[in-house]
Amino acid sequence: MRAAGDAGVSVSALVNGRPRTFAVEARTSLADALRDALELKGTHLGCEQGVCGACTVLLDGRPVRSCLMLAVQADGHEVTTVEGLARSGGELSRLQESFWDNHGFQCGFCTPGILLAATALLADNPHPGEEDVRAALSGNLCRCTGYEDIVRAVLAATKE
Amino acid sequence: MKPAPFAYAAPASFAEAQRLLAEAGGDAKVLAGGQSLVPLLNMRLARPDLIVDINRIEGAATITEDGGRVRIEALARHHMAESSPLVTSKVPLLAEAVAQIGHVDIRNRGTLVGSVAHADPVAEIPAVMTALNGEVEVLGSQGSRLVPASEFFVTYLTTALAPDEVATAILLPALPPMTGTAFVEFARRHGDFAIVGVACQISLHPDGGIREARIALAGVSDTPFRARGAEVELVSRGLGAVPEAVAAVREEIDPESDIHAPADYRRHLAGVLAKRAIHVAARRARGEAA
Amino acid sequence: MDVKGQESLPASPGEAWDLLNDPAVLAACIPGCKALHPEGKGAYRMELEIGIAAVKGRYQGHVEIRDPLAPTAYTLHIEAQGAQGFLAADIPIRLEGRGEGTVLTYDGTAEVGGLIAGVGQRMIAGVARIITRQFFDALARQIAARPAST
Repeated sequence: MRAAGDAGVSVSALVNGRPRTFAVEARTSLADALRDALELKGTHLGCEQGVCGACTVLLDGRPVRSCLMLAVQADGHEVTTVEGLARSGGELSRLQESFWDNHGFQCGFCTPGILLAATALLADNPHPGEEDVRAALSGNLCRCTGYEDIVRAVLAATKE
Repeated sequence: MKPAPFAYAAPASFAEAQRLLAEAGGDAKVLAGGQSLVPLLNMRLARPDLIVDINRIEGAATITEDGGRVRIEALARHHMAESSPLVTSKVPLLAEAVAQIGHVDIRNRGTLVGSVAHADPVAEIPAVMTALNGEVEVLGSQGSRLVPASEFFVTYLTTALAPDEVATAILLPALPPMTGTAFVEFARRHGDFAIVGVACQISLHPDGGIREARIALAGVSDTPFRARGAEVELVSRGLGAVPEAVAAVREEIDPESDIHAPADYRRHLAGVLAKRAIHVAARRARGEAA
Repeated sequence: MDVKGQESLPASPGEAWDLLNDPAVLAACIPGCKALHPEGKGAYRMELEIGIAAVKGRYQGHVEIRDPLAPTAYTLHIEAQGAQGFLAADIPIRLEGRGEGTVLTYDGTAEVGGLIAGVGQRMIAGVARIITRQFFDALARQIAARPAST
């Protein structure tokens, strides 16, 4: 029995604090929906297999691979992308400032995923040790930096 | 890499999910955490006509105690088991295994029952199920049944689930007294699929002899592998027989070669990890820090 | 990867040879074979739908019986391509009478490439063993279904 095919779905979610509603095919990933339906290009696609972490967003505050979620699964949930980290006046978050000050990115491709993973870490554990930071970011690959400045930037953000 | 088109349904109950699977005649897949299924969809290695998304089923994420067993329902995510006081105290082998699954993101969405239903022979939870002879609760057209782990895992990615059945929970026995556990695995990078993993539970007699040994390996066969020869060595001759137990593990397994590791390396590694796991589990059984 | 092993068949070498060269038998024994069309002597065009659990794909290809030395030896050549990847195998096969049956020895190599080989690396060798097993189990059923010879 062949099913009718992809008839499309409607998704309503709180994205970066704003209620958003959009229509996509059922097979559309959350990553693609954020980028295409909502024009939030900060979420990047590196592998579409769940191994690189470039697509990491926060779902109800927890880091998830947006390439491994169907957009429709975000219906009724809260999604935070990198665009949601800066404060409403455009002022960077403490963590973003620290990445700026500590040279925590080069090409920037992995950076949104890393910022969100680190944001979730610090919300859960405001004073992580270096091993905690490395463990929390172990699912985010960076081809440019060698990770040292990234870890330093996260740790620096925890100091007042 | 985008999935081929599919129809989508998000039932409100397992009964409805089962009915949808039955109507699809084998061309539907259940979507829970999606951490194993969605990559296959994205690469078009799986092209089901219908995706049955069970994430809308309410009250299906609980972890409870049920007559000496811990019951974990289909939508319980890995991170819930990792931080569950019930799992940490009653099935510590599972808590230790879950902490080693992939990365944080994966553990936030992936489900334990989903990992069992996916039946990757290198995965952690199937190895724990096999070591402890846990049970899978399956809902089919004839109703609900319990399938022991020893019958559930058939071969690569293949289980006792019929195409119209959905796994609704897993059940694992609670830790007996005087028992310690250890889950050790080795991968080239943090979060990679394990090359070999060992799930081990050792129960002691009051005099320090080994009352029961349970050892299951991930990554050495087409399903989790229960190292019964090694278990017999330990129970009959105690901890002094660890070298014989390690030799038995290496003798019993018949691992494949692939680009990640040749068979000889897996065989050697299996022995090394088994030895570590046995010693750690025995120390924990004696109440020592391991 | 290596594809090698030994099977005992309850048939004489001559009977085994005839079966292994019979396109109807091949079509019934090759796992996932949807169609087998003759393309000249000892050569067939083939359509397969094969995989494990949810990971299934369609492949088009060829099967050839090469260097036949009836009823003792030949090389089985298989090639198949699909969206998920490709397969090429060359498997020399020997048949030896033993008592009332035949010992079939195969010792060849297969290459699997493309997406299925990359992503499925951890399982390819094992799945190849399973598929080979399915072939020989089907062959055993074909032999058992033959009317008893005089």
